[in-house]
Amino acid sequence: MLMLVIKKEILEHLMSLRFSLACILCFITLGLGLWVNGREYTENLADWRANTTMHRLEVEGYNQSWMIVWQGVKVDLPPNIMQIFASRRAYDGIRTIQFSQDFEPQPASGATTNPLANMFPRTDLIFFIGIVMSLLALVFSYDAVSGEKEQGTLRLMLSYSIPRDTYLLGKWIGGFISLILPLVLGLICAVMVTLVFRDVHYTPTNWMQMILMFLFAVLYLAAIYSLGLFVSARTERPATAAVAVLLVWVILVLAWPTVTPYLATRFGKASSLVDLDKRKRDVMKEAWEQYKKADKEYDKAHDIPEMWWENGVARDSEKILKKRIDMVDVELKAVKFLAQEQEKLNNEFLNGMTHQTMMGQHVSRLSPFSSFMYVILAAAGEDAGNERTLQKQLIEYKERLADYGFKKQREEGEERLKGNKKPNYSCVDCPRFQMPALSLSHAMGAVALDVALLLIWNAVFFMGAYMSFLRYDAR
Amino acid sequence: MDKTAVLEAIQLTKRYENGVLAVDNLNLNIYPGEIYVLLGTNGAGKTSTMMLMFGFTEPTSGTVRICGLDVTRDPLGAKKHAAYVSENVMLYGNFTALQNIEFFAKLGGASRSDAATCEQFLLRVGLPSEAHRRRVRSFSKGMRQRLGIAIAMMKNTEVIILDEPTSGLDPKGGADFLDILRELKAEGKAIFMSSHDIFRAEIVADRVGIMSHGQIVQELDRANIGHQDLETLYLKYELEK
Amino acid sequence: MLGLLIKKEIRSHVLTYRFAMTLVLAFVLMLLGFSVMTAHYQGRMDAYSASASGRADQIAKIKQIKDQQERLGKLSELGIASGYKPALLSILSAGVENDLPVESHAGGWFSRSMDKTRFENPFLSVLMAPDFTYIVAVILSLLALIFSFDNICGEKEQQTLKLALSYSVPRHLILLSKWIGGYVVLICPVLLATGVALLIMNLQGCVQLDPGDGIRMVLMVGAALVYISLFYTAGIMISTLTHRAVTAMIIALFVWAGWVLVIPNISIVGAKLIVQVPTYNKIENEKNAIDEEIHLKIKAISKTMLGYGDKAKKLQEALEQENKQRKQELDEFYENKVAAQNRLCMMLSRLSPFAAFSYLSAALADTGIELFRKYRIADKRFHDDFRDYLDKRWKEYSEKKLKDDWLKPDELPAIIVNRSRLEDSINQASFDFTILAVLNILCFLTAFMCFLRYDVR
Repeated sequence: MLMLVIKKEILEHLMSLRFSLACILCFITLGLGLWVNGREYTENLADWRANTTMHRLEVEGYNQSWMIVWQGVKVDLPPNIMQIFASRRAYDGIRTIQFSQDFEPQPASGATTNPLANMFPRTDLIFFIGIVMSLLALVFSYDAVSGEKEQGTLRLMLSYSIPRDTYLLGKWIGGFISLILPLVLGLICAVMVTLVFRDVHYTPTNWMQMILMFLFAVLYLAAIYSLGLFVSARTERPATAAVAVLLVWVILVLAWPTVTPYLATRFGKASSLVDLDKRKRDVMKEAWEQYKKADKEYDKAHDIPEMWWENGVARDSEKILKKRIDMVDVELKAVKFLAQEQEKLNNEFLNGMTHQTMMGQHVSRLSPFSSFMYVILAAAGEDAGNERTLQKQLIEYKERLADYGFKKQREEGEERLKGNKKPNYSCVDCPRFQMPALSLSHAMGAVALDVALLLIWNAVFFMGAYMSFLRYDAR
Repeated sequence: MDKTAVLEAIQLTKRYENGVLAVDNLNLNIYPGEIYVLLGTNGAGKTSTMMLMFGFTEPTSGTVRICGLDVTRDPLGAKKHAAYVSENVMLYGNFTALQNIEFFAKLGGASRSDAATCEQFLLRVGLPSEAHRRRVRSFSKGMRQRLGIAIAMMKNTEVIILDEPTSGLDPKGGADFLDILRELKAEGKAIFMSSHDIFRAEIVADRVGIMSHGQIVQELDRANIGHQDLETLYLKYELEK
Repeated sequence: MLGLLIKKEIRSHVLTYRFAMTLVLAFVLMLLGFSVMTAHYQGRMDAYSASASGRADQIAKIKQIKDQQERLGKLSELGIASGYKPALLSILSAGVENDLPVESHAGGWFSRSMDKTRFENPFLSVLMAPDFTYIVAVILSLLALIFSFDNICGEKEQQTLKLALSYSVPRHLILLSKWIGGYVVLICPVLLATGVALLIMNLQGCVQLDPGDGIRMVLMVGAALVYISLFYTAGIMISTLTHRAVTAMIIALFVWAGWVLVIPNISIVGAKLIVQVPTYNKIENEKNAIDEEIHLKIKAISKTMLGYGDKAKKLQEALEQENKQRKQELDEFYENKVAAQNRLCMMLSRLSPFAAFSYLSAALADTGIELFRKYRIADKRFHDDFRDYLDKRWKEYSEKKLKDDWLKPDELPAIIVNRSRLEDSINQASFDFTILAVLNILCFLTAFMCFLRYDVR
């Protein structure tokens, strides 16, 4: 009997106007959107490859020791292929990080944002499934019960010996399958479209991520669908249900998630970026002062006149050469001190900001759309946890670079001291940056709360629909 | 009649939340092979009685039994023995007549619900073959009523309950409908229908119950119907209270 | 007759659930949205003040240094900062303001850029800002459609339309009365809520309105009314094209989803496909390549022509000029491409009234793409001016012409973004406004003609 009701539901939906419109929406939006995202990805990938080679050659071409320390190294981060499906912002190209002695790792690209792209939300899964498909889910389910009542078929159905819960379950399953069908087909098409690009290769982890994203989408849409069913089982006429359902959707999906990131600033007082910048520059000055002091002390201790380059001391005199070697340790210490202090300040700031952001996130979780967004971002590897791991790796690389650079400087100094005027200086063995591997389990662990919430929403709405329907007045 | 009643209402009462007493201590016994017409004006309590028969509404007190099964205590069991035809048969507009009857046949657990059997039933109720594969949305009222009764027939139950089945039908449609009812009665089914159409009631009923303000104020046999002027009786009870 | 019909329309609308829903939603959203955006604006104003006072303090401290060379050295070492004063009307239309940095730093040995990915609330940019434009464009438009989608076909289903037309009432009067009655009932809560929200915003300490701002706000609200009216009329039109309320609702929802959600995105997608812009990274790499090429050429000259002498100097200058010019050409090429893509995108997206209204609103609030372009130019000029300033002072110092009190705060360059004049803003907004008005008229005419032949059986 369950199968009978399910089949009839699916058949009824397949012949309806909303189903055809849903199909059109899915195919066009997903197809075009993911295609463009895929193309952007391949462009970024090409840029990344070109840049990595170029920057590597640049570094290997360094022939003076101060270059690696002062001019530094540029590291290009590979684009995340999952950004085709979900990302936090409209990225403009790849991220290039500049490492040099006294700067913290900072973005090197002078990339200019195209503001137009930021005026409307990006066409990715967050937008399409979170907003468009959730509306579709409600359109499919809002008149499931009240519509049949208005039609009179509900009474007829209930005059047969079919238990009410079987009927509701059949309605739920049949309608949901009809909803998911265009989505599945649309997604398969869209993914195949992205595979047209030569450079798009999905690793097994990527496929895992995609499956996860699909499962979360199903979970989210099921919750919204159950909500529609719930409202349908509590109203007498579809017209009332439509208004109620739209009101709820507007609040949950359009209003609340948009407002909550701005509410975040109400929680606690985070220091301003301007302030952070100033304090970091103060620290830099302090490190610089420390260095100058050590420099002066060394000069005094070793009988080197002030401004020795104007006072007759030769650049390649033994004293100066030895000074360079000896000061390497001081410089290294200063650089490491600077890096640590700056990270400390950064972390202080970030803790405040993270606290705010997290409070904002907690408040936003009143809406299942927010939970969905967090979960999808985590599955795509675009979450905060992965970002933090990346930053840690960057700092660690900076320290490795500092060790390497100053080692080279010491080596060169020692060569010169031995009398070799043109020491063999090559940076071919400069350490390379290793992009940290995506930790999917870590990311998923961080959003376990959101997955649980989505499950709870599902349970709550479905139970609500169930209880309401058992007592539904079929007159 | 000395057969056992297949549809019983025992001291059936329904008072709604707003205080209205729709059904007041109703007692009814319907036997197989008879057509019982519940007559009454709008607001007499006919529709509420219909709703109580299938458990669409819970009675305030009293019981409804279909073939001995209590509708409140064993709804699923009881529903296997009664079929329902609503006042305004709408069905699934996007489906064809055949698709509708096949679906409900399967729902009712019919062993033979193939297209041929279904088409037979459709023809039997007077739906021409070219209408079988048309969408129900395009049917006239008369055609939809016929489809409704065909579906009830496919359920093959002892009792058929109809809610104002001939309202809105033209004379030919109404007459055809009554013919079908007589056929079903001949098959031994018990037919319980509500109506405010005195004239058709006179033609087809074996027994008539005149309902007024939630009670059956007078019950008439086939024999007596002919002698009494139903119309006068009907109006009398209206003006009395 | 018309008055009677309108009164009946108003009365019947006021008794519905959707009116209650509109009332509640309009108030809640407007108050919440305005309060949130005002707080955000306040935060940015605070950051701006902090930046401005920081700059003043720094200049004062540097000025205290007596020795000229040391003072110049200090200025070169530290550079200066310049903050961006947020536009007041960004409260109503955030536009591109969120993309503009609070502070820009010129010169200095320790100047660097902040990694926005790391130091910003990441969820701020995933969705749109809940400003007045968003509330009107996305949410109130849906409400307007809900108000009107079953105006005609609903009455047909209820059989009351037949009854009304059995009287000697001309059809066009009925349609007009339906339009007016429903629109009035829809607009009142919206205007009330907006008025209250604006009032509260004005009473906040950080908000200082001048008359120009006032006029802009009035224009924005007026444009919002036209926009809402468009969706309302579209709903009426859908209502006259269908015979069942259920179908009308589904079509209305899809029209809304298409106009508000899908078309703006697809047009960005389409523009990117049609006008392909090379990534900025490529442009930068090409510029670096040009630098290297010129550098090598200059080196070659200094090797062959002994490096000194007028001829060599002239050649060197010519090469550097060529360098500058080629890089400039590249920049212009990139800018033009981006501008072309943006123009195409805006054209395509104007198929959606939502996009048209967004542009209109941003133009009136002076937070549109124009602002972004102006900021970039101002930023570049700020950097260039500061470099020139320093060069000049160093030159003066070496020629011993440096005055004693040369460090004047108002002389120092800053980021100056010229706000558009009211006439210019109105000009920019006029095209989009025309689109909205024309669509309005088209929908109404279609509804009119369809209703005249509407089958009421």
